[in-house]
This record gives sequence, structure tokens and C-alpha cells, in this order.
Amino acid sequence: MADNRKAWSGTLMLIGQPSEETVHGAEAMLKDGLFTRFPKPDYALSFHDDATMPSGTILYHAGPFRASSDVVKITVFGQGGHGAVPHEARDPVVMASRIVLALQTLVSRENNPIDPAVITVGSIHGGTVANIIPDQVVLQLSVRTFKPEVRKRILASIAREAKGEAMAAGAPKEPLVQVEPGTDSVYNDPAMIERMVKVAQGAVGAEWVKEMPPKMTSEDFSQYGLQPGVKAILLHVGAVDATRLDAARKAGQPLPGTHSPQWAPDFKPTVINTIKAETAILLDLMAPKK
Amino acid sequence: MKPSSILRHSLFAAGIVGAALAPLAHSAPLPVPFAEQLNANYPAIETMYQDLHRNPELGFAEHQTAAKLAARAKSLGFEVTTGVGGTGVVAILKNGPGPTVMLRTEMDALPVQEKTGLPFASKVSTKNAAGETVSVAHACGHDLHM
Repeated sequence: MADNRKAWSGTLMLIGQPSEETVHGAEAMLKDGLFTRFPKPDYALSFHDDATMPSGTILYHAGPFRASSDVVKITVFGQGGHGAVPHEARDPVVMASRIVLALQTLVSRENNPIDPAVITVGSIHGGTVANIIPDQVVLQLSVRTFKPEVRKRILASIAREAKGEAMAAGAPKEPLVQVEPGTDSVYNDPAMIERMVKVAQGAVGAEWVKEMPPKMTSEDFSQYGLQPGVKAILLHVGAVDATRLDAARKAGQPLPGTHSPQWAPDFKPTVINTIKAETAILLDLMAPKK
Repeated sequence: MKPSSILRHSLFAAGIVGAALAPLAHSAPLPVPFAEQLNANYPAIETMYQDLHRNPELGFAEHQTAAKLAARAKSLGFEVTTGVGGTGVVAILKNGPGPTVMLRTEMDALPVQEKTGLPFASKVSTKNAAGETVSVAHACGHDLHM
């Protein structure tokens, strides 16, 4: 783009964002004036490598694409004591276990099955040795949803269930439920997707542009699209050698995915098609006025 | 075209297009000179990728990564600001009237020990925010996005 200014007209803004993995980097840049100290973009674009499709396949999904993310920490309080005389204590391990099972019903029974929601208890810790009933157990949850109203309702229900189960067990005090907000869900504007798909097809060939299903993983790229007037689109690009992918599917053996210690994108074909597609999209969005 | 101002990487490379390029219609292929230049500049792109891959940094600690991106963008004529939102980099190229388009890459790596066996695999370990020593690797492909 820098070498051929005659081919486009507009302002190109490239950003290197910190800490996407904690889903707080975009927020940090925005709070530091990304759209006030610098021009606010009309369009925002990002590509993400994908472990499920052949290298260089440009992957798109219109509408809700990636989930919101929140962390909830629940500290369940009991009353510690000797393992042999449970009636002289109030066991938080059993309370916490009931809470874990109760949380499952928030997805299986309370949520409209049409609306995706995930609650994962990623961590449960309490106690030290077999014969001591501990004072407390700590749970850490990851919550993923697509719709803001589902997100709000589930977070409130988690607190309700935790408090309810603790009360049912006669806990000495209410559990402490702490929500650490993560990021919002990513929504790809369908009209923008349609336009970018056409452009990408021209650049890399229609057979290299495919629709993909939405994913419950999260991306703080969502923050940019939430700013008024910014049309943000997140695309994926396949990064696995096609023969390897095929062989793995036939053998029923999953290949390493992103975040795995063995993840190694098939660099050359992936980056070449990404560059072609994104350059074509940039040139289309900033086509010079006639 | 100066040999030094070559196509770098997906994001910070952006497109090299022949000087006489006409505006693209929807669904038109990129012109031949572009494809040729992309192939010619590929070795430099790969070198940068392998360097980024060998030197991953954790979130909000991407000092070297940000500096590399900033330097490349600056050499291409972008107006560069570093330290946005901690370690964030913003590179702007104003080129006449028209929309502003933002292209975003992430810069951070993960606290994961790389087991790919690649010649340019990360052997880095560092202290995380909690002060624990962890291995670091670009296990999410952010280096490819860069």
C-alpha cells in the first residue's frame, strides 16, 4: 500500500495490539485514546489463523461469530473440622460440588437452546489432606455467550445458584461471587461480509473462500466494532497443509490446534493468500474516487 | 520502486501494486505485477516471521515485538506511535480523501512451551505477571498475523 499510493485513497491505519490473550489489550488501546488521538476508522479488519481448514482458505461468517467471555470466581464458605465428625463442621467440598452440578442446569434447562452458552468450571480447589474438612473451596468459571441479554442473565443466575446451594446446605455465610468481565461477542456485519467475500474471491479464487461456522472462543477485536461508526470484520484463514488435514480426518486423529504446544501454521501458502485477500479488500474499501 | 521498501508481512507489509494499477472492480484478480512482487519479497517476509516466532513475548510485555513492527512501518513511510495502551503500536498512512481503514494484528504470545520441533522454535522463558517463570511461544499464530 505504501508503494502504490495512486491505487488507493484514504487513510490506512495499522495497529499492533497488545495482550489479546487476556482479552484486555483492545480495551487498553481504546482507553489510551486509540480513536481520539488517532483517526477513528470507518472500517476495522483482522485475520486469524485457523487450525481446521487448508492453508490459505479465507474463512468468513456473517452475524454472531465469536463469543463474549467472562471469568467468575466463586469462594464457597463452609466451616472446617475433622473429617471423621462431619456434623461438627459444614462441608464446603460437597457444597461446591452441588454448585458445579447446579450450574449445568443454567445451560441445559434455563437457557433457550437456540442461544449458545457455555459455562466451564475450569478450576476447583479446596482442602489439603484426606481427614480435614476445609474452610472453603474456590471455583473459577469461564462463561461464553453470543447475546448480551443471555450473558447478563447467566451471570446473575450463577450467583443465584451458588447462593441457593450454599443456603440449602446451611453454610455459615454466603459464597463470594466475583465477576471479572472479559470481552463482548464479535458480530460481523452481513453486508460487509458479502462485499469482502466478493473481493477476496477475486484475489485468491472462489474455491479459496469458504464460509465457516461461528465459534465459542473469544476475541477482543469485538471492542473496535462496538465503537459507534466503526464497521469491524473478523475473518479467519486456514493454516493447515491440506494433505495432513485429510490424512488426520481419515485416521480420526485430531491435529494440534491453536494454543497447543505443537501448533505450527503452514506459513507460506497461508500468508500469501492472506496478503492477497487483505490487500484486495483494502484497495476495494479505499478505491480512489473517479 | 526502492528495493528497500519491500512487501513485509501480512499486516505491516500491505500491498505492493504496480505503479500503473487501475482501481479494482469487485471480484477482479490482483494484477500480475503484484503477484510477482509478492513472490519476490517472500524471503524477507519469512525471515521476519521466523524472527518474531523465535522471540515471543507475553501480553503487555511485547516490547521488542512492538519495536520491530514500528521500525518496519516507519521505514515504509508510516507515521508511527508506540506505547499506546501499554505496548500497542499505531501506524498511519494518510493518502488523500477517503475512508479510514484499520488493519489490526495481535502481538502477544502464550505461556506455552513450544514442542513443534521447528528450526526456529521458541526457546524463550520469562517471568509472567505473577512472577512465575513460564515458557513462551506463539502458539496462537499472532506472529503469522503480524
